[in-house]
Amino acid sequence: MNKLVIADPGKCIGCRTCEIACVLAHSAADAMVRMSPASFHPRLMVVKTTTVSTPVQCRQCEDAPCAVVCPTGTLVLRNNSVEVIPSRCIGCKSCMIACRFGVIEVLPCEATLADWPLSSRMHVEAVKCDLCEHRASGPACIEVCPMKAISIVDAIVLAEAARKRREHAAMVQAAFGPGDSPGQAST
Amino acid sequence: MAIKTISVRIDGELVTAREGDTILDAARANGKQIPTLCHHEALGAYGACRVCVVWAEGQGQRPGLTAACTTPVSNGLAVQTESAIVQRTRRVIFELLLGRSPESESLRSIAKRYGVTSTPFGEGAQHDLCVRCGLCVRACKEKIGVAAISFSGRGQGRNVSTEFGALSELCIGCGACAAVCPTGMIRVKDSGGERVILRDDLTIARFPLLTCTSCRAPLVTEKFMDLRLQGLPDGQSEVLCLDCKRKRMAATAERFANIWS
Repeated sequence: MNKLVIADPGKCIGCRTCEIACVLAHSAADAMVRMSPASFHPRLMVVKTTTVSTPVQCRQCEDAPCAVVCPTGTLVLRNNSVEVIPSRCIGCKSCMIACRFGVIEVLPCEATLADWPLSSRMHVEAVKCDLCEHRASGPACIEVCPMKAISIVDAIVLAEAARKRREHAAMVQAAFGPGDSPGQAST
Repeated sequence: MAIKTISVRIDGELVTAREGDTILDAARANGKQIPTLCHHEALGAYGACRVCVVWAEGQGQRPGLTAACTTPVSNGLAVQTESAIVQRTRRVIFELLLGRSPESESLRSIAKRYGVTSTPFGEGAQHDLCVRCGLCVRACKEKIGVAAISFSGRGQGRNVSTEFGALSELCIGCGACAAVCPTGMIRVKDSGGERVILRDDLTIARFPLLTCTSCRAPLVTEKFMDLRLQGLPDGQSEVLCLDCKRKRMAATAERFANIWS
């Protein structure tokens, strides 16, 4: 099963520190100096509504609709995640339409000619949460969150969460007796 | 199936390459820089611009100049990427390209790296930004599967064009052509709820944009939406912008508050 970064809306205070950490983790060392509203493209976005604040980011879907519709194989299922191979992107934005969560974007590429193999192209690329695979210490957003609201979830963590909830359900059932469980025949 | 590896000599250095790779693949995999204009990893080899010219000799390869992007490697092949004749040839190729597109920023900057800043060619010729790399044409046909644009005409009259040069009925307005265009010849402009695709200053397609069902922001063309939805397993009928999609996701997440702790 794929790994994913997920936030707990119950803890998030909407400070957007994770967004800044994300941008810095995916930029050159001098990014702090050059940062501007136009170039600020975090891969996780804090959403604030009247009832909730939480960062949203790629869920690394098992069936990855973005990868299904991508005509060039830019998005691939690899290393328990959905990976981007930027040099293959032709900027058609199919992935943006396919993604249910709005967490993949096709953006003008900041890389200049100097960064690429000598080629005159490379203007756009698909950008999404890559679980900070390039960082030894894991996702930057998790590290900086002052509320410890963000965590990385894999099959083991999910199984443990499910076990806890079953336990909770059993306790509720025990407290109220079997007669209160809808759909169960009472004796 | 195991991929066979073969050894190739690039600029005197013995490197391994996978069978079926081109000289360009092998060179770039081993950190050698060869310039390209018409190459794109997602699209097939094309060999239009010729700036990736190298000298190659070996089994089954007559000694001579060849385009690195279209020549497959073979065992024992020896490649020169920067020899005097390669450099000289590449300079002439850049001069010829500049003769046609002297105003192209990206062409000028890549040519400058190879010491070409002016050209003896192109006087009196019709100038435009297009370097005839065919990236837009290939992206549209090979990857989007539409072929709304193709090359028409020959020689100096060769041009990227829609069917009969009219406003395209085939175009779905995805904008991949503009995204891969290395010179900015093809552009997408969204304004007033309408999308136009431009080749130079000529409008080649025009669309009203579907709006986000939640916030009414103009978003995407209907034809493109239809094409993409066909590829998805379940019907996603709603057109939503990124912001509105994220808000929905946050609202779903709200129900799961505190379950991770």
